[in-house]
Amino acid sequence: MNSRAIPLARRERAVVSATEMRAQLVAVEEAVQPRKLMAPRLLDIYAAAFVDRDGGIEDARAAG
Amino acid sequence: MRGLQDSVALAVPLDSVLRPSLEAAILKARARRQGPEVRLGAGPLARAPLRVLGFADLAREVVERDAAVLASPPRQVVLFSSAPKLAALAGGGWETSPAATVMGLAALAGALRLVGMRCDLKLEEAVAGREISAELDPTICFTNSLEMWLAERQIAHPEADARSYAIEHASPSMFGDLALSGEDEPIFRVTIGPRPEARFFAARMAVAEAAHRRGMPLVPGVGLILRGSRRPWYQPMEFEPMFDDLAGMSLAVVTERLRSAASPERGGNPGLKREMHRTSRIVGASPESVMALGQHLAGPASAADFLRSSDFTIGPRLEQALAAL
Repeated sequence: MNSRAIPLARRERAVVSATEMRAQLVAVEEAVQPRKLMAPRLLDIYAAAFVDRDGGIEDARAAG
Repeated sequence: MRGLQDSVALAVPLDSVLRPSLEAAILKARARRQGPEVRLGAGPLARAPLRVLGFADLAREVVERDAAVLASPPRQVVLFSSAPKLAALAGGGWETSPAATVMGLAALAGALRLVGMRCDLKLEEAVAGREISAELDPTICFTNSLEMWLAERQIAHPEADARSYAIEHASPSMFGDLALSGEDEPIFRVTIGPRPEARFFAARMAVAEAAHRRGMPLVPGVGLILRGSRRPWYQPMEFEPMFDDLAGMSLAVVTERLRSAASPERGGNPGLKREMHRTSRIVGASPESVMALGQHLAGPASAADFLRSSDFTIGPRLEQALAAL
């Protein structure tokens, strides 16, 4: 269907809905992966803590 | 995707070149279904503390579970002794006899077998003296925090040069961040150590960055730090129960002494709690095996016999040390 055929009000609703959905997905991802390694991101490995450049140990939740 | 245990801190290079190299190495190892080489260090030792059992059990768990998260399970675990390196850097101020090497390696290897580590264990001692060129020294940039930590170590151990020792942690015969030319090196290494090894990991990566700038070959490395292991087992405190205390001591007394050693109310160190708890469990579950290991660790000669007669792979430098005992 040509996008011009969609009434403006419906198109706006669709755009808002997609944006909201993306935001919700990000929120869900963060909620279910609170311990995802923030710095550095090493492939898809998750850790509760990582070693910084000084050799200190940082909690990933605090850093993220 | 399964993650690492909460008790483990992940150490990876933060450099913009070394980190992608490590990631590429892990992907390559996964594609080939090849496990990494795992390395653990032991320091010079005169008497073996029972706490090595708790450390070994925590390390076994990390090898079997966390190292396998990165790629396939490791086929070989390499144990090295830093005793000759420290002795050489201290100019003979430390215990230089092969006994210090043999006692440390026998305690760790025996404890790992006792807690059920089944894979091939290769034992070797570090090269005495410097392996990393002194020309590289001025190009190695430690952070201020790391320099301060090393300066404090210098005060605690004035006989050994702390900065040189930290740099040598990256050497081929220790944690092996710098590749040994002409050798068949693994795709990547996983190094496991107690909490102080986090500082040394940062030092190793600073050395690796400097070596990379000079075009020297490297082996990508990941560090897995046992957060609950706050003091290296090979630096026992005077109140810790040792293997040679076991003779004539009941199981109840041993368990009580292990508990006291981690209790600040009884003059112990709370930093030992996690390892002591594991040690108590092992002593309670397998008292005969613990006593048998204790007999092997009664002295350097019996420890050397134990290493020779067990199923360990012995490196050429360690062979020489064993021959001297």
